[in-house]
Amino acid sequence: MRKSIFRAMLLAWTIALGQLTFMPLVFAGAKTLVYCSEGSPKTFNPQLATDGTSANASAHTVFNRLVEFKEGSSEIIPALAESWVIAKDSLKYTFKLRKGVKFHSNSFFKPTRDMNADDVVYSFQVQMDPKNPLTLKNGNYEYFTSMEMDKIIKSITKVDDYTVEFVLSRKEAPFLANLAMDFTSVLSKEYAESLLKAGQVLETISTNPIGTGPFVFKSYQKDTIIRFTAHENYFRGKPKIDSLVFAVTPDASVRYQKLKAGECHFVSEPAPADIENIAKNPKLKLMKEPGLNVGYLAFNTEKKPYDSLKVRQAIMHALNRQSYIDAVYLGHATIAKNPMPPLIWSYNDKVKDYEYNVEKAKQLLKEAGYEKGFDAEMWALPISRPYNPSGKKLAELMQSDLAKIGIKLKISTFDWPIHLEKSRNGEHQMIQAGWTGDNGDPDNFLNILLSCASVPSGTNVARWCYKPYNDLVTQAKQMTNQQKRTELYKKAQVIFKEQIPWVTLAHAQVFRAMSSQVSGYTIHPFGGDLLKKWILNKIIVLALTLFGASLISFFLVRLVPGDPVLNLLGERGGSVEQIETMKARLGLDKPLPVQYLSFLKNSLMGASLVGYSMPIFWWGLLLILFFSVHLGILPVSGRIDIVYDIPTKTGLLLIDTWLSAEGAVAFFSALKQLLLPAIVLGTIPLAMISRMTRSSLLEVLSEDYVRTARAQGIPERLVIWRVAFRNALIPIVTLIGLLVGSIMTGAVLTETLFSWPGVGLWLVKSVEARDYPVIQGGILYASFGVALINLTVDALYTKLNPKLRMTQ
Amino acid sequence: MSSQAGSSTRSSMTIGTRLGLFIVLFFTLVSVFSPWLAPFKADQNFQDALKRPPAWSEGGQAQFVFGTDDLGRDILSRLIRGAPVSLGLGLSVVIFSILFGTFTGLLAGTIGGWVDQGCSRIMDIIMALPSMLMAIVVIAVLGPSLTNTVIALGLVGVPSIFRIVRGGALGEVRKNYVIAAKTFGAGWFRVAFRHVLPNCMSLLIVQGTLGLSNAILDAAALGFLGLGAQPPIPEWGTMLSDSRSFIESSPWMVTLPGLCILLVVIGLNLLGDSLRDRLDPKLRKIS
Repeated sequence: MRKSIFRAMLLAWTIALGQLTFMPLVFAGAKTLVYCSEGSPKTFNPQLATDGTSANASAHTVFNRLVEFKEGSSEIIPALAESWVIAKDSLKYTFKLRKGVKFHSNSFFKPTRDMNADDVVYSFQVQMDPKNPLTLKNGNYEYFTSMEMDKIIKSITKVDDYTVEFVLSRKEAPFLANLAMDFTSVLSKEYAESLLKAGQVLETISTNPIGTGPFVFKSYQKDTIIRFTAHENYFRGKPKIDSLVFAVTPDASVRYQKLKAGECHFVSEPAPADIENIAKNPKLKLMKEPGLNVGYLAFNTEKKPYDSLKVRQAIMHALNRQSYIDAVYLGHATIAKNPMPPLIWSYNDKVKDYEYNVEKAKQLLKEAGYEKGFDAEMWALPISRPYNPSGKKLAELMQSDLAKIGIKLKISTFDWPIHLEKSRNGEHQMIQAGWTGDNGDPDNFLNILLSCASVPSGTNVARWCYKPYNDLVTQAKQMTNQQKRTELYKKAQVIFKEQIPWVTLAHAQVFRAMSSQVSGYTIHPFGGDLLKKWILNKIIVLALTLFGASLISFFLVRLVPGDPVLNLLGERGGSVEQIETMKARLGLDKPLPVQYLSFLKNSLMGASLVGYSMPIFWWGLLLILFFSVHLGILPVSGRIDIVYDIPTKTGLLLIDTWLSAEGAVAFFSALKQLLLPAIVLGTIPLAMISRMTRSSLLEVLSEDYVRTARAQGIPERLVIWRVAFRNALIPIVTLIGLLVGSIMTGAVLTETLFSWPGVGLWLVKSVEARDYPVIQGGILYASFGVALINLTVDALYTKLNPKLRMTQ
Repeated sequence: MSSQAGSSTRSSMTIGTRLGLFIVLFFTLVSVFSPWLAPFKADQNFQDALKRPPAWSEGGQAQFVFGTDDLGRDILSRLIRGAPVSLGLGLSVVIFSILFGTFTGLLAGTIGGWVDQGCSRIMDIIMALPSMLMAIVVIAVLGPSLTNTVIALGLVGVPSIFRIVRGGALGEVRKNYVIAAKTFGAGWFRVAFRHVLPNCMSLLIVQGTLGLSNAILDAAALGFLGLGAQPPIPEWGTMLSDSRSFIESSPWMVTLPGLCILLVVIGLNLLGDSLRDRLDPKLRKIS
């Protein structure tokens, strides 16, 4: 069960060819490359990794495999294995290993030998044999088993130090391609053994990985930053950059802003909406590749009316797929006609596609006996993927297309885990799905997504088990002759097109964006004074502008001829007294400077009202656009400038920075990063508190003791601050107490926007992932915090309120 | 503060109140007449007019006054048809919390004893859970939809209403006229709804108006997290977050729904403030 859910998770694969290579990136003078990644890795052990994010942070940076895919293609090239021989019966594979390949070292492990056959055998055996002492007890080698490697590999043996032999239990055409996949990465046996010997937990290999790859893992701060340094003795030569930093930035638009602001040099998967701008921006470089993916709409062929071929054909004809490419993929995709992309060998270009034809669709529907249409349900893809950037929007377009032939479509969206669970059980009618290839073999699409065997495992969401098709793909899997396989796969694609269990939608292009100034880029060690001056200047200018604008608008209005009061009283005018009262009410009888002050006061209250009414995420985006991108004086997101690697002592960066070697400069960097999130998060409380202060103070000022104080001739300043304010504080403190609680966990939106690893975000993520212990614990923690603050507030009351003090 | 403000209590309204009233009335009218006002259907795609800017800017078409979104839908129509959704959502949330809050509040305030203790403790617990988080959890359990948004946000709003009603009720039940009514044999229902409730009404109205603006903002935030209204319902918050990746390339798609939310919420807050100034007995004393 777990396995099949996992297989379905692979639908989530995002990176083309599963590969994101950092190795060839060149920086002329630069030493640090910052990559803004879309999420946090779940593990640094590629054997356990199931998502692209984890693979990027481990398999493609820290590790190598026996063979690898050539960058940007599905061609297999030698890596840790220099050469290999496949026996005639295709059941025995012998690999000659490369000599002199060095493993990384870290603070507690120094390798004493080069990579050899022991490491290779170890890397496979731990995944095959749960009893192996070096197998991770809590580890789930899901990828290995879901690729059926445990069934395919009969044995793996070390022939000599640099020769390894695999014996297979059955013919398996894609086997070599499987060996190029991330989960077959070679780990250090010596490392695992040394951990056991030292009495440390074996799981350390997944948190502090040691591999042979181009980059050495240095440190990881959850949801924030991962640091790597170049591997000096990398067998393909030392990488051209000294260090590599992953800055975790989940929001695509923030990633793009960071790229523009120069905080990232490299991002994957920019939002389709930004692509045009990236291409236009001379400071940025856009790389485009046809993706190894397919997005599709699957019919549940077990359910009525989708078991009828005519109904499926009718829907196929009714959907205007070109319009989806334009609107949802923003033109960055091509219409798919086959269930696999043209990049993969054996793609059948002779297959004829169904055209968009509403009349024909109506006709077919009539023939099928649904002249009046029917009610249908579609599940939209709840997450954004290159093969389907917005399931919701796609569904909306399909809804209006299907309405034209009388099909009333209901759109449902579940969150990701539920979506997977329910679709595996076949509860859906129509469902949006997609796939990104992970080993470049046609089998990876045609068999995994459409064979009878994958119906129960959940990857065949069409639940389409069609014998003539199934025979072809099963047969092809067990052949090694590529020409014969090609023939079979081509035939299979023809059958698929006749039966259309899916509406094939799109093969999306995959984008990467990077800074084009990369070569000349050097990271300023804070840029110190320069930046501070900048900020100061900008703030002064801003303040002056606002002041000037308010002055001008105020006096200009008053210089315009015509008396506002007369205007208000209307054409019939009024008596002198009436005019005077009106003037007094509007405050127009006071001298101009006083009027101006009261105008300022009112506009401040007005501003606080606007702050109070602002949708906070909109506000945050506007601030980022203005301060970080337009003015470029504040960082877009993150907790501290990535040049500083501050050892964690208290967890509070503002304190840790003082304790570290960098000291003040790092402190200011951390402070600067705090500014925007603090403003965004503080806007609403600011407005609420200022309003509460106003009304509370007004109330107190009308009390008798205030009048007494005034009568005694106490200066107004003292009356307000000493007498009134103190008493007015009580409701304000209550409000602050209430606000702190909601700020602490309610800051989800701010945290999402600024990639701030906070409690709120953490809880929302665990709600999405149904991580019950975290939800319970987190809520308890939050409630405890709120209760604690309320307690403090109560204690403060007695301090503030003399009445309460008396009664105690 | 003193005489001038006093003269303005009944006869005339401050500029803020007028503005608030105008905004709220405007959007209410738009909501009521939305099917006739909107030039197009909310989900009508013009496939040859994707991301058209507003009519007054370069490249705009007179047909689409506020431009079109990334699916080629007329933004003006979506905003107009979104008005009843957003306002209705806020209203339902407030009604939901007022119904529950008033009833439990009256129970607790008039009966007292263990009923009061029980109700108050439950409300304390809801209060201790951060509201947004609580709403997210409720929606995670029930699944995202408009109805569930109302339930989640309504539930979150119950304690504040409860507190107001209970506080008011506690003050009233000890008063002589209530005791008199009781001695004449008035039952709990009569005491609670005829005597106590009317005395809490003013505060309830104020809290209701302010709750309305909060609910609209929170619904937008839920929409931002993908937990709010589901497509193709043109709810403003969802419109805003759906198009936020276009903030640079097609800013009007983000700005217009943002402005609509901002305006409505400002209007409601202005109205709520002036209602408070008039109805809240504490504040009435000042002016």
